[in-house]
Amino acid sequence: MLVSRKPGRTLLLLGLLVAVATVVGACQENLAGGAACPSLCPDTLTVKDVVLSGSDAFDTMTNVVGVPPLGTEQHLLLANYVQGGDSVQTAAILRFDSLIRILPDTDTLAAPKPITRVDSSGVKITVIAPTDSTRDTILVPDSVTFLVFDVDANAADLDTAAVHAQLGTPPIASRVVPRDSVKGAISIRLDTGWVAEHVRDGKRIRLGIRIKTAKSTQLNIGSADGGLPATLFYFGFSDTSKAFTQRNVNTHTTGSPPFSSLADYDLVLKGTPPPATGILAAGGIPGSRAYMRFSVPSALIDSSETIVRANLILHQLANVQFGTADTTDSVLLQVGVVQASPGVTNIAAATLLAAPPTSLGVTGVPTHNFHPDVARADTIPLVGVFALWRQQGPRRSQRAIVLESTGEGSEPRQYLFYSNTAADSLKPRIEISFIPKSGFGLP
Amino acid sequence: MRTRPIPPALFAAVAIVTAGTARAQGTVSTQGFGYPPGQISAAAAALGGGPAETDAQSALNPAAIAAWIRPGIYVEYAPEFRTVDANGQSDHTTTSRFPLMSGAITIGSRITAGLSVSTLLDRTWETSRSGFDHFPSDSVQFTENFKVSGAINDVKPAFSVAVLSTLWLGVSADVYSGDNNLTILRTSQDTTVRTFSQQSRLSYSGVGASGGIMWQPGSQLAIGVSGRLGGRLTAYRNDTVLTRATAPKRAGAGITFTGLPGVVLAFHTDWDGWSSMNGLGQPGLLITNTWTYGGGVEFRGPSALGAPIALRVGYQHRGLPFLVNSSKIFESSYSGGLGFLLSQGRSRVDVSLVRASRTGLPGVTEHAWTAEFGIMVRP
Repeated sequence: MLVSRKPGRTLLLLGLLVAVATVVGACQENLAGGAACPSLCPDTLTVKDVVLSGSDAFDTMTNVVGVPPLGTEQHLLLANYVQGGDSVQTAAILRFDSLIRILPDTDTLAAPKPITRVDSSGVKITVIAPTDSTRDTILVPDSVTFLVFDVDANAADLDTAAVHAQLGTPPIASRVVPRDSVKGAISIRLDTGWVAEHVRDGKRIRLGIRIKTAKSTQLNIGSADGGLPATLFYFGFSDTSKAFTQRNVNTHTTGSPPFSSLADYDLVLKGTPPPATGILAAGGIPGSRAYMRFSVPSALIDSSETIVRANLILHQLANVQFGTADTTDSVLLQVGVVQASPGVTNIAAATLLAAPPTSLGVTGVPTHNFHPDVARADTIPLVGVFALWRQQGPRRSQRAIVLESTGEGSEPRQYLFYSNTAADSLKPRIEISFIPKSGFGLP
Repeated sequence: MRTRPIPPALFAAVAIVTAGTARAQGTVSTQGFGYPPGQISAAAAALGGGPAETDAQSALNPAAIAAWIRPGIYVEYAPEFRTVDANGQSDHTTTSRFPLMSGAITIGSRITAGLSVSTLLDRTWETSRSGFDHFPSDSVQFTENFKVSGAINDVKPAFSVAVLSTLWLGVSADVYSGDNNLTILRTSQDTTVRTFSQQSRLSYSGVGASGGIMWQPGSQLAIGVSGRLGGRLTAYRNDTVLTRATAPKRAGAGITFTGLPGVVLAFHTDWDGWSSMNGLGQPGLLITNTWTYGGGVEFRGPSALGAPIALRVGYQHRGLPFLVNSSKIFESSYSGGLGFLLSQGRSRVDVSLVRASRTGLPGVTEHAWTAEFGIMVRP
């Protein structure tokens, strides 16, 4: 056995060792325990569930059909196809209400001279390539015949029925474009006499464009709102001069406010039928959105309770129109959070003022891969949206969401849901779970 | 408790009625307002608290600050390594504490003024556990974490006067202050469930007064007796008064004997009237008065750094103030330590190790190692 000759030094070292070991061991606190729970632990938090439906959950629930609104399309759909046994046909309406009717004289001091003759007239459209380049041959499988119609009708600006009727008349021009050439700018010649008459007589030109194909075809052309307006062009001749002129789509509406966006728009000739009464719809051609404004008590959203889960339960109807998931591409259901203030009473306008949850910093509201052709109960988690509403307070925005399809305006399939008028078991409901403020504090 | 559905009109009422209460903390020792470290120095702790009534650095007897003799300061660090065994599982935790700082100056030859800041009740703990939330349509796992840090401290300005050459009288004020920072965090891996978090802060203030005597009837014996009266003790949340009660009274006595060569014997007993704090907590918090008995022996050991090393052993038994499930909790501690004199006796470093067992709750055992380091400097 070894015994130190200097026990004092040994004890000193021992003390130092204990000190160092302890300081090192305790340099970081580790407080977490739980083995003795529940007998020694705080009472667990109490989670409470509330299920609200009908007017207890929603004060407004309606469809807004026609999204995007007429004339605000970022591109114009030209469709002529059959999907799932149902056909889709659309036309693009191009307005040229203002034409170039005079040319400057060669003598710059002389007044401009009216155009008396035109030549080489036509309309130029721009075909927008699909984002996925592999789809252009799928969407345009064969040569395409572009048909141009004179759709000038003596009707109100928003009276599309009169325009629709004009599309049944014989076309005034056409052009067959091979499949491989259906891309970029495409010019369709117009009868110069017809154009010259409109130029000379001060008439407006309003054209409708459809496609005729042997196989199902759909393509998008540029729009004024999308930055690629169609153009009317021609050589104009006056007594003393000639010039090449072109004019983008434009319109002069008589109503108020002026609908300058009506310079071009999409017209659905055959598309998704409107939903039945009492049914909420999302998606389709024309696009629909379901607007749902919540009436969840402020005592729940704005109080000291913390909502930890809020699931919207919707009962979906099987909608097999335009095919099933087995035969078509998938569409997704997504939630938009309405950002319109409570003062906006126009629901259609409020519906357009909806933002994706992620753009508002809300996570956990996924885009759902629900199939429109399946009858089922869908669950949409909205706890992040409720947290946003609590953070914003009741006056900043409506407590409403819109349901929309990723195929809105371009894919005819439509999600259908039972609304508040359905039987109790099928009504939309919101399942809210919340935790009251804990009394944790004073022992 | 789960309810559904609840009529909307009843939301507010439900929320108020069901606000949960929490009383226990996952450990035996930190129940209620917390664990009382004892307000004694590392040297006294090594001796089972025996010399607490005559120890200058301890914060019990204001008369004992006369034993500083010269101006000085004392700082103590005492991490606790705790093990709780229950339900076949063990928790190992580490809690850092600075339970005592004290100092004194002499005023003339008869008066000593001192100031100490000590932890009366340390409420630092954390529990974490998992469970399942059963929602209307599914069940989701959650993890719930409760955490509290903070303490009620005793700030004690004191005066000690030598009324006789062998008798000192001391008085002090006891100013209680401190806070508890409380955090609840409930998380889930499920993205449809939002994290719940709640933070709050409780603060405490109160006053009391202490008095004591230290008597040295002979060169080999010192006797200390002290007591404390409690004034109002108030708990606040932010600036809102939550509860009021009376700060705990206490009375204690101790004796230190140095008549044997190289040996110091010390013993003390203490009574704490914790039950006066009833009313400071929520209704149903059970608080009991406690007794403490302890003592120890100090031997003069071999020399190091030019001075003999003090070798200390001790034992203490006491009750803890806050009951668990109506069970009283007791703490038994074995202790040992070393004391190193430095700077020709003007400074001292104390190293103590305390092994405590806390019992009283069937099925749950708690053991702790507490290492205490005290540094006294008298320039």
